[in-house]
Amino acid sequence: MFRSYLLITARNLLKHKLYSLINILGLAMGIAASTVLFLLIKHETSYDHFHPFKDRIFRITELIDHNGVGEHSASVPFPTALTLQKDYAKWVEKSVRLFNYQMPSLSISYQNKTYNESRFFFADSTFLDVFAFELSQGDPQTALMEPHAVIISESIAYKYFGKENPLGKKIIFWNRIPLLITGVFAKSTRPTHLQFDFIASFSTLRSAIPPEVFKRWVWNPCWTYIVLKDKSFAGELTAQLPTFVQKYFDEKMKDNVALSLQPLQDIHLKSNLDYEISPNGDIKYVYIFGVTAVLILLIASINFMNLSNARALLRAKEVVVRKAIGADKEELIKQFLAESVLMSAIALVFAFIDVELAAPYLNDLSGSPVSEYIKNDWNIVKYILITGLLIGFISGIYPAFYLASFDPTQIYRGNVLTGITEPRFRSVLVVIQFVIAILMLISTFVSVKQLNYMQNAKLGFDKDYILVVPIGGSSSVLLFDEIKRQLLLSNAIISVTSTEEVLGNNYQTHEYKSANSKSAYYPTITVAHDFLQTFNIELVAGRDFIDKRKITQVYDEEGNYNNEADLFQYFEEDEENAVIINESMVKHLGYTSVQEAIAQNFSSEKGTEKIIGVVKDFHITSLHNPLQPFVIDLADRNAQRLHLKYIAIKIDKNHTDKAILALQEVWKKLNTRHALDYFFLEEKLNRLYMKEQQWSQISFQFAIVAIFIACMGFFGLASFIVEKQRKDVGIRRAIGATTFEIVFFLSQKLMRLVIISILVAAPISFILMRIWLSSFPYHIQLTPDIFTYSASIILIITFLTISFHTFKIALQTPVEAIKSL
Amino acid sequence: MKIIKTVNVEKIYTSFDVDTVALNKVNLEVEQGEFVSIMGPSGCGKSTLLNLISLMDLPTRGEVFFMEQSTSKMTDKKRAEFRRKYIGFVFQNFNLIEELSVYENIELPLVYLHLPPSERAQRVKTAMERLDVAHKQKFFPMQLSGGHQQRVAVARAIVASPMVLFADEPTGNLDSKHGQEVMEILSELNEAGTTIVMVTHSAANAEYANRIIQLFDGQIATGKVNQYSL
Ligand SMILES: Nc1ncnc2c1ncn2[C@@H]1O[C@H](COP(=O)(O)OP(=O)(O)O)[C@@H](O)[C@H]1O
Ligand SMILES: [Mg+2]
Repeated sequence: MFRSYLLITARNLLKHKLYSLINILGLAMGIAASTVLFLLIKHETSYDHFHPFKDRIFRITELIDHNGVGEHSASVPFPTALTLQKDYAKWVEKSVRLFNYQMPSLSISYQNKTYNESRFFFADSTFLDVFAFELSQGDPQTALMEPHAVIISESIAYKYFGKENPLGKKIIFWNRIPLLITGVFAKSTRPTHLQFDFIASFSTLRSAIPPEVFKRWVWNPCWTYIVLKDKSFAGELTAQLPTFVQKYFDEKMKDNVALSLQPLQDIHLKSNLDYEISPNGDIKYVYIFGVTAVLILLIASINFMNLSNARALLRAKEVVVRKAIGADKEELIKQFLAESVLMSAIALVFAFIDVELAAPYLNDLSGSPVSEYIKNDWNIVKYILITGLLIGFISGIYPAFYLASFDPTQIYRGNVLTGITEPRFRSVLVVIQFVIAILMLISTFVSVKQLNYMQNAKLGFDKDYILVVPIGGSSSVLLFDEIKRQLLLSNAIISVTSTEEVLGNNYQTHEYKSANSKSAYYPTITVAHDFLQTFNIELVAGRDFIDKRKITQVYDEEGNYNNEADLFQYFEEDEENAVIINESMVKHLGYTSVQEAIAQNFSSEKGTEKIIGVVKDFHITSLHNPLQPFVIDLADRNAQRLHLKYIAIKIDKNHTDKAILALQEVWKKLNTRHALDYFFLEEKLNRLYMKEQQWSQISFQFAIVAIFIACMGFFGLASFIVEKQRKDVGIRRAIGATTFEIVFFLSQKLMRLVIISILVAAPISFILMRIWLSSFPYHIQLTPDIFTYSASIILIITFLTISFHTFKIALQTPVEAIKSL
Repeated sequence: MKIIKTVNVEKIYTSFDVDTVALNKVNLEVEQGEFVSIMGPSGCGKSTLLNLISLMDLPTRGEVFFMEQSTSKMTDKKRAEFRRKYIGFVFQNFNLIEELSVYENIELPLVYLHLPPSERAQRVKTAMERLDVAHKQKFFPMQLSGGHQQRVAVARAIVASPMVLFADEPTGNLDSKHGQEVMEILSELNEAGTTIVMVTHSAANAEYANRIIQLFDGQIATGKVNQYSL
């Protein structure tokens, strides 16, 4: 029996090659596309799943909140881990801290080569007990026990030592601290939020950081993970955390600090804190991927149903003959289901090929490739097989019942086709298909527009033609003044400053006390001179910082400021005495006007700062966050200067190459011990929208797939509908209708479905897009043009799709048309 | 045994709210081994009657007995089983399945009877030889002449050794030479014991039967045996 099904299926497929191809390819594309999404989902949800205690590992996070300003940090102070472990020994089994000075990169040298390494961490010796990272060389028990030990990744081993054995080699950290390589991490392709290339023993830090720093409860640079004895203790421990904070945290801040436990497996998808170790994903997109996958499968299976159904008409005769011979309904249903499953099996082969072809190009939302580990997962194969066959089966049910229900007595009545009416259900299916396709198209438009909006929004400062050079974590920072002086000698370089963090990317928080409130932690941009000028930031009141050394003319011999036109005499040295704030901060501090804020006290811990200027608000982080109050503080020449981590260089837009060349030369001359890294600010800030960028790309690709599949189905459907109207066309042709009248007549019915789809899709997508956009504090408006463009595109594409059939029939000569009567 | 017996069978088609009385109180009996021809003008209900007695369709009123069993309470499945086991069909337009070869078309009823392959091969071979189409077994219907297609159709109809063969204008699409051939074959089959009920337009063909039934406007006119008059 099965052989007979197989035979007739194969011959049927070959007889209607074009439709078989459309049918199978449509399904294959749908399965492939949804598999790709499934891979992405699987990848995004598999982060940190490979650690044996994954359910019991928690990260400690710290929320500092002073009336809405402050930070929510992924890292906590140095003593947190061990104190927790000591105080709550009945619940906490182990802990580990990671630390990297919160520097963008750290300077590592080997022999005469120096690199800036961004994936370098110091970690407690328990690192390998808590996390299941495997070593390909070295002993995991002892590798991090001693100070001055480091484990490196395989790629770093290759980068530094080529084919030589890395074990026992010495690399130098910060030009002075030697690190002995005691292990090499085995290459792992499993996704984890812990992205590192170097793990050095925490005890090494004793020779680099004064001992009292390890005891302080203010600075919070340590990513801290604890392993609970049982995950059920998390609740009890969380309940104890406020007590813990009160007991240990600094007097001044303990009332504004809250610690919490964050499950390890939530980090990648549910965490978006300050100072994350690596850019995280977003659970929102996992859901969006899931829905998209289902919708695409739905389109594909509707397609399959519709085409099988349309083709059923051609098989009406076969059905009635089989019935007459004695096949009962059940047997026919079995036959047609078997056929569907068979076809989907063929589609599976194509789907596998598609996925294999696409796999190397798959990136996750943070832009990194989908891990090999996921791609090689057997579950994927199972998924494809099961969905494929299931879709084949489910999509086969309707056509099978439809076919099997044909009345056998029709066999005597000549043309079986005439007795069969167009099922209305099929029109509904087509509408569903196009609603989904239009939805995805609109979603693409909206996400691309939103991305463009965010990337091109006026931030309140210039981000173009600004080169940024990381200098933090190395002695380069001490050379800043000289580097700046020499850089400015080039006429391709307009202005140079230095900042603690990349402007617009992130910020630190520091403690300040205003005249009318207690001290609090405020977002702070610590900068060097010429900051406002370099970034072209608008001052609305007061003045910029003045570099006393540069404008000697306004200072007399005794060093007194004597520019009478400048009435701000309450500061001697801007480094110690001045801060600039933004308009939001003026409001936050309760001043009624920007003028009123000028000359008010706003001092750091032991400082004497006053507010000397107010700038227009600008965005100090991505547009995912609303504008906030912040402080711009000039680093003093001594200790604070060491906090500066970046040089920012405004270059002449006509001479970018020349400017880069000048930078390279100056660096080579002044700073031979460190490697030069630089990037354009604009590119860096654009990367803040990586998720949106990836999503708009994914959305675009899947919109194309969806439209393509829907159109394939439409193409197939059109051929049957048009074929059925051949007789009508003949009559109209004979009466004298023009080609276009006939094309119009034939297209009418099909295009009506598309128009209905547009009308249904518009409000649905409007609502969905509104929801999506509302997650952005700054977003585009849903203007009608988005909908008109999408509608026009769909109308044009669908019209062209069916025109192949409509024109074919419309262009018949009247003689041909009459013959077909 | 009375293979077929109808009691006051009526068939009314309703389409667009118009009732068409296709059959009106038809009483008909066919004994095992008979060869019955049904004649009558176009549209008088011949095919409808054939549909009812071959269990393809249900009457609106009245009762059809097949092999002395009432069929009105039979399930669709049961009637399909009866068709499969006891009934063979020959149609005017042959109705071979185009995607299947000659061999596979003939084999089809056996497939539905779930016979083992070896037995199927044996029976198909016998049927093909009997209708002299063995040399065409690999051909597809489209590659055959009408005469040959009808031979294949007959082979398919008899391959499962049915008790009754229904033929609806089996020669309607054939030229007289091939038509005659087909009638010879039917006649032989009848002599070998197969009951045959045939619808025909042709008086000459009707003569092959032992009994002719005249149908006018859905009613049986006279039961004259072996006499043809119009
Ligand atoms: N499925 C049907 N629906 C409606 N009317 C039908 C149907 N089948 C047959 N008829 C009508 O019933 C009558 C008898 O038809 P039929 O049995 O096919 O006649 P014959 O085979 O004698 O030419 C005709 O008037 C025909 O139009
Ligand atoms: Mg008829």
